[in-house]
Amino acid sequence: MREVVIAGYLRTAQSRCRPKDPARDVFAKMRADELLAKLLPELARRTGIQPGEIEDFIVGCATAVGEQWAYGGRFPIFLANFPKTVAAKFVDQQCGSSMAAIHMGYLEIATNNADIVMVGGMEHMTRIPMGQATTEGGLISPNLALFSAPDYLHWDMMTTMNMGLTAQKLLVQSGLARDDMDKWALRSHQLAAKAQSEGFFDGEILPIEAVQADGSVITVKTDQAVRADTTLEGLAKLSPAYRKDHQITAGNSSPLNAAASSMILMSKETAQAKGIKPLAAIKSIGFAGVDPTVMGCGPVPASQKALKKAGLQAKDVDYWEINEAFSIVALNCIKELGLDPDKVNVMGGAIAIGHALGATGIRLVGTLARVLENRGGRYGCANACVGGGQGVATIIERL
Amino acid sequence: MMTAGNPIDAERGLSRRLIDEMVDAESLVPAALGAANKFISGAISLDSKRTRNRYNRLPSAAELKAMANGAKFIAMSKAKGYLAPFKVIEAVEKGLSFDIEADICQEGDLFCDCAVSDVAKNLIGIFLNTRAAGRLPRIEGVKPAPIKKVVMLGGGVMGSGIVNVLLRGGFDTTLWDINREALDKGVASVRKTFDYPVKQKKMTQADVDSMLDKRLKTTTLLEDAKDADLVIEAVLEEMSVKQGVWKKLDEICRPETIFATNTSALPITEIASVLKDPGRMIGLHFFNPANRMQLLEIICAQKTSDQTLATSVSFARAIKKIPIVVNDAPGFYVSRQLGGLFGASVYLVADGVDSNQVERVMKNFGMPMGPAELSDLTGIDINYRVNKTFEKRLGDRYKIHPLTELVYQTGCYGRKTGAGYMDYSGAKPVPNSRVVEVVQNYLSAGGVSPKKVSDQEIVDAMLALAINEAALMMEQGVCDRPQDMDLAMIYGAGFPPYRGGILRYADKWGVANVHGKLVELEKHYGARFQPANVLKAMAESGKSFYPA
Repeated sequence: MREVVIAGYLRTAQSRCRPKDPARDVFAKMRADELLAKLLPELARRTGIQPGEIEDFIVGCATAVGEQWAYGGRFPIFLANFPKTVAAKFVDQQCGSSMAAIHMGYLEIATNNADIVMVGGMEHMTRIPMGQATTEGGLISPNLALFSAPDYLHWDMMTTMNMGLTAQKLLVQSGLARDDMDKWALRSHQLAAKAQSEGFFDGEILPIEAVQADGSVITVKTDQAVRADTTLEGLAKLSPAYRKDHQITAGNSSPLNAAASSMILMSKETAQAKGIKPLAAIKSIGFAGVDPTVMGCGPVPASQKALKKAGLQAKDVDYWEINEAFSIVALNCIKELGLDPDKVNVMGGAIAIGHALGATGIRLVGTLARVLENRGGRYGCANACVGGGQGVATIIERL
Repeated sequence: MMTAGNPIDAERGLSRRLIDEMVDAESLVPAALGAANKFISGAISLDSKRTRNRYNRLPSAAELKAMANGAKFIAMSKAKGYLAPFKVIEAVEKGLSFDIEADICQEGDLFCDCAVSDVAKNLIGIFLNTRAAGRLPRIEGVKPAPIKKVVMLGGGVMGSGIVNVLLRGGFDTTLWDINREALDKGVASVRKTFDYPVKQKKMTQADVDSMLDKRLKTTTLLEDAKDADLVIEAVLEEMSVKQGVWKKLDEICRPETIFATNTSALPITEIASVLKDPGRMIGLHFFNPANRMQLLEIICAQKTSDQTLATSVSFARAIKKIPIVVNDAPGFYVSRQLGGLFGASVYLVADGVDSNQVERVMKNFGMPMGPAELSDLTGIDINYRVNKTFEKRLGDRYKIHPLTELVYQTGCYGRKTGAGYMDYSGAKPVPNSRVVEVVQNYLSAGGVSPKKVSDQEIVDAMLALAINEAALMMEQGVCDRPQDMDLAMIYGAGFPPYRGGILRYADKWGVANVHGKLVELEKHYGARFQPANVLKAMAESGKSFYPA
């Protein structure tokens, strides 16, 4: 198996989505595939390769219906006017989609089936909202038998299809409290705000000129959901989002976002031959299935697998990027793997930065690589929980 | 749908999700009440039906821009000169925001732009005038005679088209020609006129056969016209031939039978002079192809009776034509007017103006083709003969331009000879080198160098002459109704409807300005452009063609 490196990483800022009030989303008048297509030529240029050298483009999106159906991944290639020779694939592993794309690209290169692979992720949660809107619209049709046949009741589809309810269940299972979750949310905003003010994210965000609802054009270059003015008191005042007696709130959950992300992977030899300094090497990958009603615990077994493949232990990992789909997901992972919280999401996490579902996987790995560089770490592990009961993980090594 | 105003049926609307439910007529009210109740009870949420909340949302800014540009491009090629399609596209391009109230407001503004526009005024005028066409004061109260049986003399190009019209109009039709062979050709031509509607599935071949079977008779005997209510003649364009036929029919037909000639060039008064009662003769000038062109020029000869006219106008309506009544004169109205509209081009070209620019300018103005293209289509030789007639019968003003004479002498008559102003021998028409040479020689012989003019100067020259020609015809009693004259050019010569007509254009330009332009052009180009007295008087008194 060949060594695979990350040669380039670029994403858009994450806008704040409002399906019921689209005019307030700065990306409301851009499609997800348009956001992604804007990244690709610039990514190739910054990495130092010609688009024609890319052999495969693997793109992920969680709600791949309507505008987000990408014709096997080719629409972004068409929109970027990339050469027709760039093959493409579309992958859906829900919130883990673009990490799955990294995994697949990694495997293609490691097994000597490609030298240079581009991966991408996209999601627009105003234009294609998660959940009820798309189900009611008929674009998503879960098998109704799953909801009613006795054989399937154990899947508890009503909980399984509702991320907030799974988070609540994980909270109860973990034995943690509302206050823990709110504190972690506050931490996320504070660290993200600090990182923003220090310009940390500037190196990974491509500013986008976006037409607004009123026709004006603004440049979007910062993640829109970061709230520097977050307070514990403010978070404590929020009512539960799903059930009156629950503790999951909008404040301790990730927001709705629109964004695109992209990365270029290549074999180590190719990077050396081209004189490209990689961001990091991919050491190992991991994926696991878990109880869908407690999907938030997915990162734990997934990370354990990746650690085992890498021949590492949790304590060997210098920095972690755990996707904060909900505060409880990070807190649970820290608890189960025995992590030092100060090594986790050091630039803030999804609660502040955003979680544009399909784009998140690449965002986590890319930011992690830059954190290793910034902080001088060697090993990093990025992981995410996945709706439907899964976890994905990627371990990288700074070279 | 939006830019062309084409409706779709309910089924299509349902399949395109423009409507939610389709019911049959009897169930409409109950279904509507049911839907209303569902909204009240909340079973249907208005919110979820809103476009902005639907899964396929509104297009992105980039998509909308691309689509609007595409639509504009198509509108430019299909609807140039009209206003509404472009305002529609603007409403879509600037609308489709998240604020429907603002979008509706904006749409209202754009609609108002259309409503108060000249284009709207012109189109409304055309609509109203079309309905009023033919209702002359002289036939008010005159009861049209019933027409059931029509005899068509001659089954050529025009005759076969007219028979098509008669059959579709439900008339008992008899086609006459000089021999069996000519008749067979004629019937074949009639059948051919139905090829297109059959191909378009608007009629079946069985319908056509049945119609011909039931309503069409053929004969080589003029005697078979004895019980005709109307005889339409389209025989050879020669005075002696026409007079001969009519004289015979004068003995055969009933006194009430109307005699209509389709002549385009011969004086109808003269044709009628051989009849016992010239009052029964009228000109029914169809346009080629008779089954498709809506205009019917009805030409009153000197002695044409009010009864003959009233019946002819009613007949025109029965065959779904638009009747424009004019008085007998060379070129009647449309031919002569068209000559006026395109007549300035030879003067411009002889003055060094690029003829290709003249073509382009007239097409941009809205005419279906420019003077050279039209000439090639109708035949340079035909036009020459018509011009010779004008010269002979209307005076020195219409003297054929030497350059026109030279072009005619080349023997290149247009499409029929493979080349005219353009050469049609290749894949695409290109300028005919022979004519180009003739023009160039003419210019160098006269020491004329190429002249650069603006498009507007060309439009001004062409339209000034056209308006002047109209004024001359009004002066000479050919026609005195501007609304009919304008309609005739729109329906008979393809004048752009959105401009309303030549005389609407004159009023918009300002008659005084037209007069001023003609004075200027007369100085430069001579008597052809001498302002008509009527026009001079109108300019001085501040009058317009249409009531202000």
